[in-house]
Amino acid sequence: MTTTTTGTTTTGTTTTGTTTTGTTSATMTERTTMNAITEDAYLRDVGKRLRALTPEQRDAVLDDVRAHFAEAADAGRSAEQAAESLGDPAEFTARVRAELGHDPARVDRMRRTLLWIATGVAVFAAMFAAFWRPDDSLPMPNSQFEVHGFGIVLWYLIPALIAALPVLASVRARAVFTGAVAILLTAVCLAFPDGWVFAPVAVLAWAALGTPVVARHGRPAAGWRITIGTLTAVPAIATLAGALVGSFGIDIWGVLIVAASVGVGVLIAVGTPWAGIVLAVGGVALLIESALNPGYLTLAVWWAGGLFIAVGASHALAHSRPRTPSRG
Amino acid sequence: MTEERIATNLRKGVLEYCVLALLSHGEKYGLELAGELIARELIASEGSLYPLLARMRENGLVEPRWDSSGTGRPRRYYAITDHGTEQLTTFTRVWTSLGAQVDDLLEGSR
Repeated sequence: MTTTTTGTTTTGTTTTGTTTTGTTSATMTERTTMNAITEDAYLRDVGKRLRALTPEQRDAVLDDVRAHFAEAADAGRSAEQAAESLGDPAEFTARVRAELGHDPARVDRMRRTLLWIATGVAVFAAMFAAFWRPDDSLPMPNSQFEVHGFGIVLWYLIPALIAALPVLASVRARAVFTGAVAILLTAVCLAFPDGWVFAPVAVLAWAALGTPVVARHGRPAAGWRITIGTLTAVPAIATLAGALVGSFGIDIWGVLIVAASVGVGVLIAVGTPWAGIVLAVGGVALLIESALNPGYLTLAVWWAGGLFIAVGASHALAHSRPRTPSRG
Repeated sequence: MTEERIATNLRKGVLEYCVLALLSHGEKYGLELAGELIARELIASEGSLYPLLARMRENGLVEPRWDSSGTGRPRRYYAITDHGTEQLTTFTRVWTSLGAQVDDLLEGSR
């Protein structure tokens, strides 16, 4: 574009020296302006597409691009040629994001995985509420299913349906849907007498909303890891405190479980990815245990199980290795 | 697998060490670094270098600085860090051993 304009103007103005000098000077200015416009447009586009990065990361990349245009100009290249050698801004920024672990697909994968886990836990919670949980307010046999029939199973499956809804939404709308679902599931927990059964599902929905945000720049900061590592140890510390004040007895297995969960909490705090998987599996075991052997600690064990699944899965996903980017 | 595919896969694993090796001889600005990598067919264009430099900078392997001593616009020079030098030394050791093993196997298969 610039080359054609410059060539035409110079050819058409060779009659006098003064005119040539004037026109050459004008075309130089024109070229400089065009170069500046091209560079500014490229920088603006790149800056816009790298909004998910930290300001420091984005500024450093923009400095690289600025320097590239300057070095290309010193080497006698036009701004178009400099832009062309960097490639299309969309492609260039996709490479930058991939190198820095900012794979948008990774963030969405994280959210979808947590939503599917929430759906799975919701189905299990529905089975627990309908078939296994003894309800002393009901005549014997005191399960909801025996008294109300199959309809109650479908009723209890509604939270599972709600938890799965954002998975069907488009990638762009998924975060908003997940937020709405997290609020709705929290309301379900608070509004219904049996709502506490679905508390782990609500926690997982909040995790599906928050974890991809926290981990969008790659591995989360140490503060986040230490917080969730501490959260992991809370049920263990509460159990230990309960046993020490004599609220209930604790056997050797109890001591081992408490020690193991504190150990996993420490591993999470130092950022060991597999500790999250161990914790989530432990959480599943606690849910199964409390559902199949209900006792007076069922509520506490059920919630601890849900917390472990949410924290463990979030930690493992947030620390998962980004896929290797392709380079041209 | 095609020749190009094999070369692409191998380049992926060694590219950042090639950048470190080039910088170990002295600091270089982006275009200079890209020129050497393109000449050696390690990257196809400059657009591949800056994303890689972003990661290497993030990992503390290289460090940029602005230089405005020249006549044109300021240049952005990249230098290898101490951590980068350590990584290059480790890579050199691994590459020497691995390369010898692969060469040996290839010799034997001829």
